[in-house]
Amino acid sequence: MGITRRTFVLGAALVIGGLGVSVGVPARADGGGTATFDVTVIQASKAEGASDPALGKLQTYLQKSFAGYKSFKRLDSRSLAIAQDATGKMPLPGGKELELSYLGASKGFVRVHLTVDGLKTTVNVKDGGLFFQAGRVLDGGIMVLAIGAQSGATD
Amino acid sequence: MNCQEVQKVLLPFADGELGADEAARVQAALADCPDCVAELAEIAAVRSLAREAFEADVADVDLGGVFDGVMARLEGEGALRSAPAAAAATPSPSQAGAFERFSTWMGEIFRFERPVAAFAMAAAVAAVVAGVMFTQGEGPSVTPGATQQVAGSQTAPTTHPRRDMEIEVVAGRNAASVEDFEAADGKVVIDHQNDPDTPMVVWHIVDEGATTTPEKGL
Repeated sequence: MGITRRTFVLGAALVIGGLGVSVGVPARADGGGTATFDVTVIQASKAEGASDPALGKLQTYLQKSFAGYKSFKRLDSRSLAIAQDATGKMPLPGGKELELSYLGASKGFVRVHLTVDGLKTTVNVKDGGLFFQAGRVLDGGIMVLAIGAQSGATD
Repeated sequence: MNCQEVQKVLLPFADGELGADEAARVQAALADCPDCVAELAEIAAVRSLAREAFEADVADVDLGGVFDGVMARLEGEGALRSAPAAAAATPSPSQAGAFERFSTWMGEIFRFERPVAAFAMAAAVAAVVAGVMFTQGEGPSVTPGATQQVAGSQTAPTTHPRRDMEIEVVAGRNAASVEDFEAADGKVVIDHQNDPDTPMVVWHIVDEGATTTPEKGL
């Protein structure tokens, strides 16, 4: 009595087949949804100057990444909540415009496409991390964009 | 009926193929045979699994020929005899072993549903392959603890998108990499620091004469 061999094999095959399908199509553990991009527009200058308290923690990162610059001033700051495959826009000084497209999150990284004044680039940045875009002349210094990315994924 | 007799007719009993009298005798005998009840439950469980596996895909498939196929196969195997003498000497279809009956029944299912079964198998394999590609094909190449392969500034032509800019970075708080870039003019410099916590800078320098180059800034 008990489970016959063929019955067991048949049942096991069906269960394994079901598991194969369920494992083969994993739920998207992260990615999708909406990501939040905190964009801060900064003017960096080589002239000595007081630090802008409005920059907060950014001050430390700016000093590391732009060691040749002495002062940093926050010009604008916005938080853009962008759905996957959608684009958010933000006006910049000089009539320029920043476009950010959220391309998804994977393995703890956020993928974002950035378009600003002739530059188009796709960046993978650590979820919750930060990167800078810089180079444009602005009032005797340069314009720096600090872009922090945070997806809604729960890893 | 004793237990052995009951177990021989469990499959046709489960199929509702027994006559009313015989079905009643089996039903009565089940009360005194826990093993028979357990085997009946096992049959039901396996059928439930089979039904779940096929039900979604075979809704449009005609299963009407399954039973006829079973009977034809049993006849071919000599399990069915029309003569009374043979019937006396050989188990009737309803008395054929549960194992053989079930095996034949499943064989017919797969024979009739071979395209569906093949499709299901192909779908399962494709799903597994897609899953592997999905989990390995996304995200930057990050090796925790690995050293940064590209440090300092890197200058590249900017008139064409680049796909060779992916680098391995330490998985620090601000780890980042550039997947591709394109600039209408000027040059693009990807500035990675050795410290993975120091944010990457994507420089786009249009005016070479201005004081905006990263070399001057660093």
